[in-house]
Amino acid sequence: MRCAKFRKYLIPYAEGSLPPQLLERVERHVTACGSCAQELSSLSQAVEALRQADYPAMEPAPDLRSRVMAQIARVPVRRPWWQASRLQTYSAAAAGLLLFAIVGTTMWPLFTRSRQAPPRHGVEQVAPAEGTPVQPGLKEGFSPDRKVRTAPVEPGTLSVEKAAKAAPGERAAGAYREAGTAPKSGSPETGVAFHFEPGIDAAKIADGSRGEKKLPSAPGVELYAGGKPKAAPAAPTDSLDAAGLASKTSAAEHQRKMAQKYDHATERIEDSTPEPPGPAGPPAPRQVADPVGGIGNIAPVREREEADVRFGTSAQHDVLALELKLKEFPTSVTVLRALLTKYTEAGRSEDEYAVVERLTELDPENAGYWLARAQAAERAEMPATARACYRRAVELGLKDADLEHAKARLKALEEKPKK
Amino acid sequence: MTNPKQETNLLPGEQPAAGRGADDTGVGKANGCEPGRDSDLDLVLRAQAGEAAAFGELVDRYQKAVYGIVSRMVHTREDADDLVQDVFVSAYQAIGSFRRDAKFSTWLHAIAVNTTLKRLKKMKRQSTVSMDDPATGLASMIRAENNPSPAESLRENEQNKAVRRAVESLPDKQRIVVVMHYFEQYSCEEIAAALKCSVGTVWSRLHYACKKLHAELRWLEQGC
Repeated sequence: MRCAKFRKYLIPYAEGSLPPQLLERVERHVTACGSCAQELSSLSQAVEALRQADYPAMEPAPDLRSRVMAQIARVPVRRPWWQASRLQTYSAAAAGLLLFAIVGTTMWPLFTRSRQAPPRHGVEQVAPAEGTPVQPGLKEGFSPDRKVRTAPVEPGTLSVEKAAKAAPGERAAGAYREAGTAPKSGSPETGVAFHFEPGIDAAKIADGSRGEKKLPSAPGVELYAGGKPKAAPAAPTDSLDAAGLASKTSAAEHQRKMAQKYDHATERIEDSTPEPPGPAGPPAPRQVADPVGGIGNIAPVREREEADVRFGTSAQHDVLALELKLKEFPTSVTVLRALLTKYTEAGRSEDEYAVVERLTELDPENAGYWLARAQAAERAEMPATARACYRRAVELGLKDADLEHAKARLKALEEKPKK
Repeated sequence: MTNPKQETNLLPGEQPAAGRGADDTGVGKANGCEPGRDSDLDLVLRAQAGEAAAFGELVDRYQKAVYGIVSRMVHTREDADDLVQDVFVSAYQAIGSFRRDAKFSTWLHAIAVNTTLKRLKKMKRQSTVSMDDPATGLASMIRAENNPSPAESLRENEQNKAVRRAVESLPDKQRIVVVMHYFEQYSCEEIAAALKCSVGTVWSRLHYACKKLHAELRWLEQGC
């Protein structure tokens, strides 16, 4: 035992109050250690002097009790909460409840708002015809204003419903709810959430403005429109939108690709989609919320629009979840990178490009992002953009195999136009 | 030499750790309380119910023990009276929070120790301000009055006074431990409970206090 550890036991040792289990060890140490023995001697002398000293305490004043009693008559007793009177307990409980109610009513709207996806342009609402058959297993229901068709959504699933059932053969809209989420506010029935995918704006698809690019990013659905797009794309409002892409590439090239896509889509819907059963006669007109005016501003949609929604696979559900996350965290690199992987796996090159473009905007000095953007641009058949991105990636200092790859691709792309 | 602390408040069956109150067990007659006398616990329960007279009885029982600690920590009777009064008033105000997991005496002594140390700290702050005032010259006056030279102490041939001065020169936390242990006969465990620290801390404070005392007393002897 070292002296420093031992010395704390010297006082009880000198007083003879050391526990027996320590006594022997301390004794052995004192015998062997000269300095500790000397210290023990000093302490013993001090202890003895203190024990022998006459240090009397003062006598309490004879009126001490009366003075104390007079003072305590003027001061209240502080009672702990468990001894509080019933009235005090009830008052405290009432105050707590009141506080809870105030905080609850103040915070609840904020909470529910945070759970909802932010409003987007082109929110579509369907006004189905009376007596429209519903999909088996779905509960029929409409919102009180009859603008939204409702259907039960299984908890924990990410479901896409076919809104076209309300007006078969007329048009389709996707509906989804994120897994495990509560019904959004305004939902007409408890446990039912039916929200139409904002990206599926048939009016815009029909006139070929720019809604088409939103189709691939419509969560978990694929939509095929009957009409061909026309005219030039409008200015971008969403960075993941095709228009944003088009602004960086050739508008003509982009327009051509979109036209091909919707031609193909129209063929598919005409060839393979059977005419769904429905009421005879002209289809019920659908109304679409004005993108600018919001949900309350309903405008008619052209009848030639055709759309279909296919239920997504689990991979599509992953994409949907990520896209919802991206709405919530639009600058999250993690979400963007995960989405990039999913788009790449799904072969959605244009979406892939849009995502990697966002990544390069967020981190413009990242050579890896520029290389990924160049590769995405190549896959999206945008050679000019790909060349520019490869150059930028090389400038930013790619290394090793990446550098070799970028140089090789750059060389190949520069030779292509000559051929 | 008779130690006055050993004559005070000894109850039937109680060991010489007396002088600090009546029924330390807090459970009344079954544990050695005098027949016909209410136990501390009974009095506490009555005081908690709002019976001030019961608390008055507790004041009677413990005023000497509290005074024994407090009066050795301050210099004047007025300070000691004020301090003891504050201790009992604080105890009365907090009597509702006393639970049966500790003895009433331990609980009361913890209040006494804390109140005393707080008061000393406050007094030291105030005296520092006044003593540092060069205009009054109070500091040198107090030093001359209260700290006679070691040779003077021994010339008075009052070993007790020398010890007392040596004790008074200790830091408050060491002094209160010395007072409780050597002059009020509290065990180290009881002091630890009152100070809410470990027994090792009490031993450590006693160790340093005794070392200082030894050095002080030796210096006094050499100066003689």
